[in-house]
Amino acid sequence: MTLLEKGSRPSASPRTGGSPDPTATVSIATRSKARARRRPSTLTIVVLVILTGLILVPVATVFYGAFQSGAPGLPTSRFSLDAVLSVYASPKYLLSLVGTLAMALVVAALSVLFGAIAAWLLARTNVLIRSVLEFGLILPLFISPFIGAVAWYMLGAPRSGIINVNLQWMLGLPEDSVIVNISTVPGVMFVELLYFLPYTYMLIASSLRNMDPSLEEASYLNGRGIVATALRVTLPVVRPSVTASFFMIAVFATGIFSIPAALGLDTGFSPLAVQVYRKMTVFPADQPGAAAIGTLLFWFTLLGIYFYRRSVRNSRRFVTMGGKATRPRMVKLGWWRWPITIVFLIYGLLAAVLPYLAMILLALQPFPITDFRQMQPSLDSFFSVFKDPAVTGALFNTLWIGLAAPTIAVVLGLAAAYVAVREKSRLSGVVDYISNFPMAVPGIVFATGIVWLYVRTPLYLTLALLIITLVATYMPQATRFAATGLMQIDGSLEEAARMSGASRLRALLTITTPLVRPALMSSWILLFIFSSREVNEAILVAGPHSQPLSVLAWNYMSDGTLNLTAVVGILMSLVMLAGLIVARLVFRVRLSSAQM
Amino acid sequence: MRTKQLRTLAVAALAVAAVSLAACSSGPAAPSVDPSAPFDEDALVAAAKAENCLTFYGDSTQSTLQQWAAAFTDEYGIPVTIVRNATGPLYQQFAQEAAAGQAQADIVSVLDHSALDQAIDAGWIAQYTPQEGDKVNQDFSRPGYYYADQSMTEPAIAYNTNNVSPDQVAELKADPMGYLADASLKGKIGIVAPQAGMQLQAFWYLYSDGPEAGDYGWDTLDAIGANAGLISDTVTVGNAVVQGEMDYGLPLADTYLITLASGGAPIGIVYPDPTVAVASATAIAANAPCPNAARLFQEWAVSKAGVQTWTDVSKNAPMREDVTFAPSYEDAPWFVPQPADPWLDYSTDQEFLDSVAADGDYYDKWNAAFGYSG
Repeated sequence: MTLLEKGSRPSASPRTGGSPDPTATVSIATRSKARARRRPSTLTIVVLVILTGLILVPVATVFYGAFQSGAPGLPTSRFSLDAVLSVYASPKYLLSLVGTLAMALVVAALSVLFGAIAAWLLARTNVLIRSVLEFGLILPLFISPFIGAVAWYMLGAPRSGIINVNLQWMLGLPEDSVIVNISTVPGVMFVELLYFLPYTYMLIASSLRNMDPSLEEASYLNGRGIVATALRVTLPVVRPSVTASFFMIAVFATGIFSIPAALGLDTGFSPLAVQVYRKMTVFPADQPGAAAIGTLLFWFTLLGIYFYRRSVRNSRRFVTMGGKATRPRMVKLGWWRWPITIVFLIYGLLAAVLPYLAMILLALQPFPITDFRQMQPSLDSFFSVFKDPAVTGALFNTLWIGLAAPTIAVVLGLAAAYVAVREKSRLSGVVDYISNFPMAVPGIVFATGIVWLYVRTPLYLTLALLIITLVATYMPQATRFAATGLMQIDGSLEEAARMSGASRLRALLTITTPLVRPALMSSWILLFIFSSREVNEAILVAGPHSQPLSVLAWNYMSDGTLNLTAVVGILMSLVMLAGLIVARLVFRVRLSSAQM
Repeated sequence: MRTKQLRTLAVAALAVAAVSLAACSSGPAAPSVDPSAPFDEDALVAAAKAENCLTFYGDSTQSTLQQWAAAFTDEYGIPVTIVRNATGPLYQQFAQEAAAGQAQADIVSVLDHSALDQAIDAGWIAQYTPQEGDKVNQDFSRPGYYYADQSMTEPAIAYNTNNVSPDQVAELKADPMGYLADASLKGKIGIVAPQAGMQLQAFWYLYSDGPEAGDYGWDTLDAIGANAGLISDTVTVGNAVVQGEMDYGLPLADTYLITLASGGAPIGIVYPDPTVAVASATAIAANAPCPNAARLFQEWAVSKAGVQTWTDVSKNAPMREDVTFAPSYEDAPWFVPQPADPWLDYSTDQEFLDSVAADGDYYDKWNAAFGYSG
């Protein structure tokens, strides 16, 4: 359907005596299209205003803070280039930047490689116990990455980790033998890989499920084998989602501080996000320095977002929602089913079973004791946590956050995605970029911008501000999910509604929203999990009466009581699991790639 | 831009402005007792109970603060909200809130008295003299502002009792800093970096450039740095020693180590002699949301009952001479008394203060010695 067909009437040409002039028609259509591009809709303006307040202003505040001598607002703070110069002109930080980016790119590449292989195996082969394996793949989502890292330090610390200590005496190995060392750069990358793999798997698997299997069928009919079809037909079709996953994970891995910090990594190199955290926690705190490092990371992650958007844009060419339901041919693995299933189980063991076991062991002892022969199991830690008056409040706060933040983020994400996908004004691109900005700034730095911005308002330290922060933080994911859903729906459905007299809002609410509902519900579930375990922003924004369980767990950890941290970690997993069960029973929504 | 869009924009802007204005309006003022009037305990208690709130910003361990505050609540029925964090971020939060006129804390209590002095200069600490303020240790108090009503903390060395043999403990006790410089301990020492607080800065400075530099100096620190297996904060290093990942850890607050060891953690304590000393002090925040409850807490915190409670829950030596201290762990193998003559002058030592100032070179030297990425 063209603009002309939608209502533009072709003008009569004086030269042709009143008959429509095709050139003029094109010209009018082009001008009309250009005008349409220039004029942002009311929805675009409203979304832009909201996103500006929600995201752009805090990010701008971070930049402002980087040019101060102290935290903005303090009486002694004034304009200063010291922080920016000390970061941008320092070989220490520039080398750390190179190392951080290299680590992030390697982790992203490995996540995509393994995620794509897992997605293909689960979607296209007759692998054993498919549902169990898929659940095992996404199980690490229920563990907060920092708690998972604490658990892995207990498991894999070179001299005292559960694996090393117990295998030494069980196998009669020398006391100084190191089987696993998690406190190394490869160790940190391994743990990050365990926790990023579910994202790449889900994104690529959803793309695989949405592609037309008849393309692969045609390839098989033309005599191509399994590998050739996978590489020359399937891979090019899912390439946009592979590329998008790669840049998304690269951006995430650049900004994560909790895993390298919890694993005690300091081998002369510390990732920039860890440097940011240190700047915030030394005495006196160096917040301008932290903001300056955040701005340094911003430029590189912005580049990642550019490529991420490009790859997402390309996905429009490939992802279709067809009416024809063709079942893909399932590749028979033969005896390979067994080793492949075992590899999946090993992943589940490393990413979920062992960390949960470590958490349970930690929770059952007063201190992190790793030698099975010396353990002193008791339920005291559980009693201590449940006696803590802060726990009930934290539980309710977590539930409030888990309900409100994903709901608002999904609604706003749908509006932003609608503007980005359907609207043709120049501002649509701006809206799309701004909605992705929170990925470009490390969470702890973004939260600092929020605190600087809101410290003079009544929202400061309230649950409302924490929810606002999380909505802003998850806008990239909410927008991405809604956009994917929108791309699969032909815009002509809305146009038909509008031509029948419905307003744009009514068309959006009655036509588009029901059709993208599955994508929105999946988005909601994923954001519910993220919000329930979020700590990077929450540790700065939450107040004493608004702290969720994740912040309580962080506070226990920073107080040195790892046993209590583990108890709260287990409680958080139960809350997330309960949320999923409710979602499945009440809303019929499952957390699986099939619904994304 | 079309009129309709302009109207939408204007309505959105007005809505934001209206919400902001409504939110910025202040609530009704709480009843208060004039702090300059003669002390009237009954009136203060009544006013504090009418407020029925108290927010305590502290950097001691959460469980100790909670038990201490619970005793105050038991006494007066006033609920206490604890906000616990490390000194750096806690003071930063307090300062930002105070500067923004958004005071949340009623009581602020930190180890670093330089932070409290800074806050006094900025007008963020209320002037108040509790009735028994002169009964607590005056070395760590600033009369009229803050009072050291908790315990004296001296940085110490922790060792894992499963990993370290009695012979090694004997060597460690004989010359703690010299022993840790031994190359055989490579990768076995957890180090707390000086950036986290002034008492840590003072500890390292004491042995590198301060009074002990003649016997030890940077050569010793270079050697200890070469043995570092982990460089992090107090809690991370403490846990690494408890877990057995590190055999030794330093400098760690003895109050924290005593809590761990008396709870059964497999650690022992050795003090370098001399070491430095510091004590958490409590102060009342200017513009405290619950000023009467804050004054009542300050009165209680320096009283014999308040210090006794702190001593009992923290299991550390008291800051009042008339308070009973009979810890059950005095016969425990890990227990050693605090050195009697710690270095206290660092807070007025100008060379030290210049060295650790933002434009000083101490951190660069220390980072180079320990191979720390800063």
